[in-house]
Amino acid sequence: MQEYVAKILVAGPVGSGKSTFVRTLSDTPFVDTDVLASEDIGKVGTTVGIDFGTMDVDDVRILLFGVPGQERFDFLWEVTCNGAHALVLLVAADRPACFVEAKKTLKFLQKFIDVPTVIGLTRTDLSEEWPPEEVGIYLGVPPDCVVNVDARSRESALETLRILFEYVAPKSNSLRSEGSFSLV
Amino acid sequence: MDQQTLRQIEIPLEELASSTRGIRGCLLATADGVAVTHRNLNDQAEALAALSASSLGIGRRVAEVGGCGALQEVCFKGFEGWVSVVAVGNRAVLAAVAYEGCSIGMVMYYSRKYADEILGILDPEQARALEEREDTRDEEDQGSMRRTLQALASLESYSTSPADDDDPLYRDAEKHSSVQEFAREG
Repeated sequence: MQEYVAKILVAGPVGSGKSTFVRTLSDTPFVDTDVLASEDIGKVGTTVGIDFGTMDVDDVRILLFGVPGQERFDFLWEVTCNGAHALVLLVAADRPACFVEAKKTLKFLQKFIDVPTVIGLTRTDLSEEWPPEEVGIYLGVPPDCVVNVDARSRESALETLRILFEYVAPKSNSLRSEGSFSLV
Repeated sequence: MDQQTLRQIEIPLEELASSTRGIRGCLLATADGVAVTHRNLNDQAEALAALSASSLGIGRRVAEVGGCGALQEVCFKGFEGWVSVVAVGNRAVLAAVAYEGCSIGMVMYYSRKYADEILGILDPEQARALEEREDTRDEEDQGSMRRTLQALASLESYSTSPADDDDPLYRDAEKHSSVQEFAREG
């Protein structure tokens, strides 16, 4: 039985790999809410509700909540971010047009939560034009909070969480990171 | 969605809007939450489209994880009215907003009916497949009903047939009724 619970919100624009990220990490059966996409977003399905997965690290149970990328679902961002201890914002490196949306999403979420945040730059195998530092500058976060991640690989996804908890969280200004693990 | 399909869809939507007095407005949205067309919802349409798609997406998993099988519909009850959401195959969602005093059964019935009609326009193949599945389910229901009736009929024939001590069912029934008499006599 895990002693502590940490809730991580996985957000970001459409097609950045949020569902894949949660699915890759989840130890328990992954819950998704995929439906047929009506717009051309480069894939067949898209999330309309939440993705949910859990994983245990030492005595911490990590709850992963993925939300839809489209702005019309911002009510779900608002509902789901409630009580989150950390934020993983995924951004597809091969779709620079989506950076604007990523920034909007980040600003929106920051209105509700002030938590340690790591930016995961996905799909870097398709484009290396945008190094993490530059994406960090654009999004207005410290460049060292931006990491390359392959959402399909468990090692890579775990590495992102490791950076989040061991590097970003301890030096985060928000006090929530201090108390986060002693909640619940 | 091309213009012609859109025009075709307007018909069932209009019929739904005027089907029962309880319906204040209705909306058709894509499965991923983009409003396609609506009746009497105006500013609410866009937001309701996204919300309907989400609620159905989540409802589907809730029913599944809760062991209730495939989701049929989601229904919200507020102090001042109802919102019902039904799936139009895997292609779209149909939401109906109804007044508080409405007959929600009628609203759900017509929502389902016109959702099936709209699916017939959007994706005839899928509509046929779903209909066939429904038919086999009906046949199964009828089959079990027939078996129940047969069982009942055979029971009745026991009660009218002359007493047969070797028949356990009859004996039990006999015993049962004597117990009842005993109870009545106190």
